[in-house]
Amino acid sequence: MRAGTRDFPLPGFADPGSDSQRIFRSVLDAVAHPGRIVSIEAPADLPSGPLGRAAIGTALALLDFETPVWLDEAARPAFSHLRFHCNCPEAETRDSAAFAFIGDPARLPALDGFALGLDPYPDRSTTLVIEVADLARGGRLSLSGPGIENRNQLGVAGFRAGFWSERAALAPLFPRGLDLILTCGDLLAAVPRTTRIEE
Amino acid sequence: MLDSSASSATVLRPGWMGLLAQAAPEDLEAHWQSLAPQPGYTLLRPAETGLVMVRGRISGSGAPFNLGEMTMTRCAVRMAEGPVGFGHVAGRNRRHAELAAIFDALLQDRHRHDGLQDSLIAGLVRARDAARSADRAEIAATRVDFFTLARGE
Repeated sequence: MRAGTRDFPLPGFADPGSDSQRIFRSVLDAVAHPGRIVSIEAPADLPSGPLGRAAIGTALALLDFETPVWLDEAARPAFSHLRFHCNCPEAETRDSAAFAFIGDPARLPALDGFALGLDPYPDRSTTLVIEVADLARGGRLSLSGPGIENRNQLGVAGFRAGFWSERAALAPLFPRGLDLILTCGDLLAAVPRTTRIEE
Repeated sequence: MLDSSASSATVLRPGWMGLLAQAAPEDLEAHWQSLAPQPGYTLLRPAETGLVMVRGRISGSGAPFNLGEMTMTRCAVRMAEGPVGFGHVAGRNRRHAELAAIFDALLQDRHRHDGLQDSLIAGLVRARDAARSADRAEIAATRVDFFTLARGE
């Protein structure tokens, strides 16, 4: 952290081609198996703010000039870094963002303020990348649904109260909905819109 | 675009970025090797080659149109002392883009600025002006003036 100084861009991937492909593969693996915790090895420098290696690596791998990005107050210092390496525009409102980066899940704004997609184009929804305090040792979550053979467990810590029921309330809108990527330091797990969660 | 044809004037940043991009890479390399001690730097964006769309303006309305794509190599560095430099050069010479970025950063450092203006940029301006006048002389030699003889009436 260099509080009080200008946020200079920092070096990104050492080898952009293979680094971003490897991270893309890891994220794909996580989304295909909701609740599976994957490790992201991204040799990128980390900008100041709470976002860890997995969140920044995911950003550098997935963002480009066609993906407007929204960052909450805590994650904001990372924007100049993402802008420099990905050339991504900043979303003016949450519902126009292709990706949202959340550094402080305890103060996550209402979920229905993000883009939920349209019935003919459910892909036009916001993918939330949320830096949580823990993925394994927090409140127990039991996951089931497509991509999960029986049940998967996650122990996510750091969300505000009522978050998971708010997410469950979006389920009837399917195929519209929100896909979540939960990151914690070097670790990442995905909770796509099809996954059912019991607390 | 800044007019830097008067070699006595100090060249501003858009001007020196253009001069560095058009300079002979071996001249920049020689100048870099002559720096002692060589300043440290980190690559923010290692040199990478891609395509850029070159756009022009239609005369008259001034509407933009796409002239065509060209190969370009770009690089961004940050010197240990702080300034960030960018190099964009035509073609695929990665070292040229890196050197252009390094000198762009060094020229922003006020302790080095004046020295580099004298030792490097002034020479690049002279080289470019010489190349331009050589081109002009070559073209002028083949110049044909068309004229029409008055007919009839």
